Amino acid sequence: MRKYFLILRSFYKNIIISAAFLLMITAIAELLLAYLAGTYRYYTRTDRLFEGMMHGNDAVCVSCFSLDGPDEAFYDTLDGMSAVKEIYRYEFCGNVTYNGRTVQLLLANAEMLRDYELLECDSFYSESGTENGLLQGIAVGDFTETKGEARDVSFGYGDGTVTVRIIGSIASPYYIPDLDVAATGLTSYDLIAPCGDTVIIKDSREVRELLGGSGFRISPKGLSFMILFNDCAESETQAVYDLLEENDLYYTDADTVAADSRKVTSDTLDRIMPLPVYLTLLSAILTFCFSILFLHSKMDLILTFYLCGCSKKRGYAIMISSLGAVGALATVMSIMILSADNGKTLMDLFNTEHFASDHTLYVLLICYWLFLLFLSAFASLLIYRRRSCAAVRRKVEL
Amino acid sequence: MSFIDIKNLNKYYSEGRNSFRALKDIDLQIEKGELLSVEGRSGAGKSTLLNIIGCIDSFDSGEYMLDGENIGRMSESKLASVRNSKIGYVFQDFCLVNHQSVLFNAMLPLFFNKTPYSAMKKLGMQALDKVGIADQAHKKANQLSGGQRQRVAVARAIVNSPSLILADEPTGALDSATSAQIMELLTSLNREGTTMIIVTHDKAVSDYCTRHIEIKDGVLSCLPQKSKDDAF
Repeated sequence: MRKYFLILRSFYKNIIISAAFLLMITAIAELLLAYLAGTYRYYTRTDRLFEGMMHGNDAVCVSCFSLDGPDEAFYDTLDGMSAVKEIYRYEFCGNVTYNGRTVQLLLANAEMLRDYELLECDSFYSESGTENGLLQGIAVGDFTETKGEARDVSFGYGDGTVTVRIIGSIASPYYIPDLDVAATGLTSYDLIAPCGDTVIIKDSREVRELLGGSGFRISPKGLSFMILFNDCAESETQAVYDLLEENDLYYTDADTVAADSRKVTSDTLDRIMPLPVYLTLLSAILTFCFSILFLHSKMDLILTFYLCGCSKKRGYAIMISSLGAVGALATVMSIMILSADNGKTLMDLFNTEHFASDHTLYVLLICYWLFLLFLSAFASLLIYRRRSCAAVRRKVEL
Repeated sequence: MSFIDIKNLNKYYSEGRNSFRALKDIDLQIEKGELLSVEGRSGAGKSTLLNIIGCIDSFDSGEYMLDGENIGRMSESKLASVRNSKIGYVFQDFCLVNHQSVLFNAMLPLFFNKTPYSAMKKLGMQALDKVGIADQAHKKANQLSGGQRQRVAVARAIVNSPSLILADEPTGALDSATSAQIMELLTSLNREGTTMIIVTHDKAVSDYCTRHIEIKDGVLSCLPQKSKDDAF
């Protein structure tokens, strides 16, 4: 191993600047790739979230044009209809304070929380949404941290306090169905929005009793809600539509919302993606070209190794390792930059807020490094494929 | 059986659609311990023959036996092993790793066999000592004169105690005084039993050799043999 390390070190000697340049250009290519992937994910996130929410069911998004919205009797009637599988609506419980910050409390449907891809909850709610007489909550935002363990947090409310058992935290931004929209042309961008500094509490009878007992006034959040349908007869579905129309509620089916959203996303991507795509391709081509030049500049050394008894296989291994080491170092650098800088502006050039650095991005970068390794194998094959050392020597001299 | 036994060897080079026959039906037998010069004009095929003997170039037809082994049937890995253990090379342009130390260059072949790292330095220093350049062991190769670099090349060539040394114009880049020193070194190694083949078009160099062959337009012919006493 030590012999191999010394041989590899001799490979880099005298070309440190070239190796550093290749390292930089590889790192730039990887960061551009991460930016491209992150940008795509960012602008398609609401579409993915919305389609995840709908589970492929038939669904409608309902909007109301009055400020009051439907009353509880309406929701009870709607919930009792055979065609209705689930109604998604949020309840607003009011604002509390924590360390000088305002935090809102929301009553939420736990089904939706479980399916969200951005959810990073350590655990989920109990059946009742309470624990030892305390409300269970999931903190959204950076105002508190669970560090992997549940803990009780006291929030200021009016003249008193309310203690919530925080059972998990979600990294900001967290995307929640934002049902404030009352518009005709709906897209997922209207229905799903980021929220921060929020505690999400599970909607249940026990929780409502506790909240009422603590003096919280629960009010509907927003003027819209979503209905998921069961597999049922058309007449049953029509009955739901009739009820909505009787109550002056406007509805759009989820497929139309999804289609409109995809159109908006596509138009946005068409506008903003060409330059990042171009830069990424350019950097990938530059990386490939410099890799070949890097190897070619060391052909004399490889020939000398060959004369001393280095086989072609070992020669390939040395060339691939030399490029692979540069690529690996660049990948490590890129991962460190992305991990450390998440949510900030990178070198005043890229807004990394929507990079969403997670395991998929790191896997992408490692795959890119492996792709670079493959390229180096291909490049070394191109240069080294001649049958004999003498033929390679003649080619190099030419 | 001879140490090197070549029969009906042919080598072609492609030139676009045509092919050029660089070596034509070469028959050559070399015994162990011989000091052979290969002479001829530029482009005659001397280096081509040397490269084939040194297993760094292939041939298109014929047979080549080295120390009883058929080179033409060997795999690439086996050929690498032969180059490492049985053959040492000395070239006109030295072929050193210029930015590495003299000692590194001398022990370079040892990196590619099973010699443990702990023994490599010792063997490298022994080889440098034999060629009279051990005091320069830690200098960079590009800091040496031409004659010193060629000594390093010779040290590298002998570090594995090969049975054959191939030298392609070993004094081509050196002045006459340094050339003489290098040739003295090579002939002293030959006296210890190492077979040596030297490609040269320098008469002063060929005078050191006991046997001479000439290649003309790819065809080999033997020149009058000199005795060892005549050579020295």
